[in-house]
Amino acid sequence: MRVEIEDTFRRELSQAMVEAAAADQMELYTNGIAFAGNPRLSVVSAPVAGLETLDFKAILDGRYVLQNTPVMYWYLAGEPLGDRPFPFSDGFYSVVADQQSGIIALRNRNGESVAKGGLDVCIEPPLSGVGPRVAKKAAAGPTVSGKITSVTGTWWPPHIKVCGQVTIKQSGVTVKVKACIDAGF
Amino acid sequence: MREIQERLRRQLSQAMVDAARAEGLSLNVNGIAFDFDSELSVVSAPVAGLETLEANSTLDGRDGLVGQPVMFWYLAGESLDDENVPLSEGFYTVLANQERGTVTLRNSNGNKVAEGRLKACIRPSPPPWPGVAFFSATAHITTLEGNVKHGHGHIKVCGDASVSAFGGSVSIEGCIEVDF
Repeated sequence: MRVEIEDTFRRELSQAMVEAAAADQMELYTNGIAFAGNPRLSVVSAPVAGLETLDFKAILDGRYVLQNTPVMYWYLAGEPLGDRPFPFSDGFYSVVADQQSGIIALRNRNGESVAKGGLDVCIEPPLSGVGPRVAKKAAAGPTVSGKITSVTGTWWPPHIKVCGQVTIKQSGVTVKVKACIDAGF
Repeated sequence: MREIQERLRRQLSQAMVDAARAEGLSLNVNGIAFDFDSELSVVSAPVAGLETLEANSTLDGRDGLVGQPVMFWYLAGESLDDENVPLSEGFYTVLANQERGTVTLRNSNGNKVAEGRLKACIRPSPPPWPGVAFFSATAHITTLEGNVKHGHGHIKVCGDASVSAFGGSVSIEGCIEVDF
């Protein structure tokens, strides 16, 4: 099942996300694509390319490095979004982080902010005393991965909660950028 | 994009139904949920028959959720590839034991591979008429954590199967957590 279904759909979803993001002048890190769904809501998330070049030292020093910075690209679809008074509809959205205010904006393809939510940036310092295999992996270069940590939707009242995360590992340091949107009624 | 997702849902449903049938289980595939990331993936479907639960008797334990299959899961991902992980890629039945407040994860050989916490919630109030069946059953994946480093790690998967009618719902949540 893993190979036959997951890999096939991972490729197809990646391709659709890359094409949509390209039309929005964005590049994605498709190795980090994540997708989740339930009968009410479906979400696809990919980290935006370039996050691996973040200034980790500045983050460790407590400086703000994410200012109006797209961190994830989402596709959202489902019953609550089809409801007329809902503030946005099925489609592609950029998740734009502002670290100083601790918020993210969900931006539609016209560049309009349609919802705001919470941002968390978490840092895990390098492990001390790791073995040579781990040290070699850490030295191999940055890695970026993505996940969807919450997908809930209700048809009535129309309401959704979607949370996603990007994890960037570089030289043994791990930075997690977490974003949550809670929208509707 | 919607077409891809619908096709994905159909294929996952079919694969789950086939695997469950081989274990003598029937699923409510309209309620299927999934969460795939680069480290851990889960597909969950409620076991058919949950919609016949009665809210009041579920709440006070009379509904007999004792060793009853409530969800059927497929687990996969890189996090399970490590030889120290006590779970492997495959299909699992989640059995509820309300008397003990636990869920058991049983593999396709019928062996218990993990145990976790069970929670039954009634929201916001039970449907008014005893004996009225719920309309549908849906699954949600509420937690998916896989963190495996240097042969040690932590995996946590939580899912719920909920049935609802007339503004009320009964949700049965199971959480499996393994540290190694």
